Amino acid sequence: MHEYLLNELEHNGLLTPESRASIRQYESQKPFSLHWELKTLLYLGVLLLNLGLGYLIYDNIDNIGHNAVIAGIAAVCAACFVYASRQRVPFSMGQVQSPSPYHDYVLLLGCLTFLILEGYLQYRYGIFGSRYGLATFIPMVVFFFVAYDFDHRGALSLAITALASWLGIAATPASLFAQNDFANANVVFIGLALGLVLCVVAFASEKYNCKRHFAFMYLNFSIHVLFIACLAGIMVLERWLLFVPLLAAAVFFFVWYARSRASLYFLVTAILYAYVGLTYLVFQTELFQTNLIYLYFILSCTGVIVFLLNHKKILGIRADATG
Amino acid sequence: MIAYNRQWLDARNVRDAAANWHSKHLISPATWQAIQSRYPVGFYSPNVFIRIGLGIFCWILVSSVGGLAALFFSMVSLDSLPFIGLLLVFFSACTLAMLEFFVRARHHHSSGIDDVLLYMGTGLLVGGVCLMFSSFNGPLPYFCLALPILTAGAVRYADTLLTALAWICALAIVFLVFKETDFLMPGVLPFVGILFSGAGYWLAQRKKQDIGWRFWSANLRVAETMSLVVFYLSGNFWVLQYVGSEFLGVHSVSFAWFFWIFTFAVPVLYVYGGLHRRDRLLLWVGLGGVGMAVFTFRYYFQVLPLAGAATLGGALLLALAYFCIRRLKKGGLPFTYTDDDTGSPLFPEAESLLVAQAFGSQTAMPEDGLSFGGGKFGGGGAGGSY
Repeated sequence: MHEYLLNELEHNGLLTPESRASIRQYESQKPFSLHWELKTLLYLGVLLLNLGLGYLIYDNIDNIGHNAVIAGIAAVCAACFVYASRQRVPFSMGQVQSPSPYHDYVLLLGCLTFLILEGYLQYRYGIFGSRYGLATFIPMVVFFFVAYDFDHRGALSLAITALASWLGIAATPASLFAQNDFANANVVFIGLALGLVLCVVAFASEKYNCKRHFAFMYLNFSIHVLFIACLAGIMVLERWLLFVPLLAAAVFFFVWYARSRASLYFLVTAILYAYVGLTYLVFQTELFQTNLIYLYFILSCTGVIVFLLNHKKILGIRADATG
Repeated sequence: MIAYNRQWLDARNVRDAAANWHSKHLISPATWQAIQSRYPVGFYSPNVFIRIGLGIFCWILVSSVGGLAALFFSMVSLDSLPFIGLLLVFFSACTLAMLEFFVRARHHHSSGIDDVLLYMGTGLLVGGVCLMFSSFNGPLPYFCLALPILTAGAVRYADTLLTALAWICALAIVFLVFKETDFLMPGVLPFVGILFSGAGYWLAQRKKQDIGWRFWSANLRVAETMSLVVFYLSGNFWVLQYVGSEFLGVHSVSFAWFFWIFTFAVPVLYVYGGLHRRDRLLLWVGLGGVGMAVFTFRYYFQVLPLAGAATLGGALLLALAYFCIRRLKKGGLPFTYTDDDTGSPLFPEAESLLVAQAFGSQTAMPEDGLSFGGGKFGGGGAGGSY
């Protein structure tokens, strides 16, 4: 294939024989990158170790060897954090390059073993008693600290999930829809508040230039939590007067954000949630409980497709936007 | 044969290769400029998120147009299957005409719209044709009807999903022919799979070298992947016993010793071959195969309890990765740990969302405070094999 392209370029006078020779040499001698393969192995290793230790601690719970297991896990946890802080790069408000390929995974393992230990202590000795809030609050603080101190995006996403659990909602990407009880008005309002807070934090990160590359993570949790809370308010709580304007405001906000940062991910996500909300409202009207609903879908989808095809012109996004 | 503009497809290949050479300072900025102006690409290929959005709304749109049309025809008559089949073929013709319009007049290429129109058009055509001939016995004739349609779609629009479906369809035909004619004993069936996928791999490899097939290189890669995966699965002991007892009523595997060796040797050969020939596809399928081999071993021999095995396995994986990275950093090998920057800029974010998905549920402390951490380790699909 390269030969074909090189012939083509040389034939059109776009390549000198010297640069052709250097390209051929480069193509035949360039090393084969095993970057993602080894990263995947590291990730799977942490996943398996976490799974294994998590089960191991509850196996043979009354054995003599049991305390050794606890001590072992505590040692792993401590070793991870000691290694990570010995190898660390000094703190900076900006993005920090990880000092070694394993650093991020060692930290992740440290965070996870901490979680296993903490859960076990609560199970065995009830150290938090019935103050369950505290049991999620402590890991949350630890994870936020690790995320900022070591510049670790994985710890940040764990911290945000822990924050959500502390407030009483499940926020892992797949459980957002499945595991929350939206008929409970508290869950919906807490979701709304959490979404707003995360959004504010995202903007503060950018404005005060404090780990501004974290803004995407915050905003990504924010957009889903916020829109799902709004839709739940409309569909389950049926408080239209409050949640329909909120949904509209959220759509305008994220479309504005997408426009200003040329971020097409937020644009499409906002449009999808807006369409779900609009369609639900249309379904509630008498008129559209007839076959006219087909007409609604045809016209609205055509409208959205025309908008998406011309989004750059309509929103004035520059031509080379990628994110 | 291909619906997209061939000149632009070629131009895109030139530009992609030249952009890489430019970033490695192998060609001068002036040459890079000249190449860009000499090789214009006029496709409408939007960003991946816009593509997803366009695909979703195009799908709803075509479905509702179909629903409206079905409503109209249901007033006339919808009681004979061949007539419904004919209607579906007619809808399919309309969809494919729209597809041709978007591809040829609007120059769409992987825009979401052409993807969805192609899949809906092909699906309707296969469904329609099968309904028109709904009097056959058994599934074999329907696979035979679907295969040419899928192949034609895969070739004309250089589509990878249709290629994979056509490949599976061909495999199903071969298996059904052997199963329904009782031509061979069930014990020989695995060898049919091995031979079929081996032939598929050989053919794909050969055609990859052929410059006339350059527009279909993605399709050939898919065919190669399918062949490698099916080749291994056809000889994996667990798969053989499962398929044999579930579908064929055979509870023992003949030539067991051969398939036990196959189960462990083939992944190792894949990984070795992948590294030796610098073939990333072979390497990844091989790594997956190693996982499958470990699963097969544990399924039959529980040497260690699950917790211990997972702990040990995780520690071993970490150690292996650690030593590999250390060795690679020393240099002197034809391999490197340096990322050859093929990943997208959003990769770190995607990775941390994976972390949240795999481990995030552990942060939740249930109110009874008892079952925490004990059994529920959410997400993490790979853990299931241990």
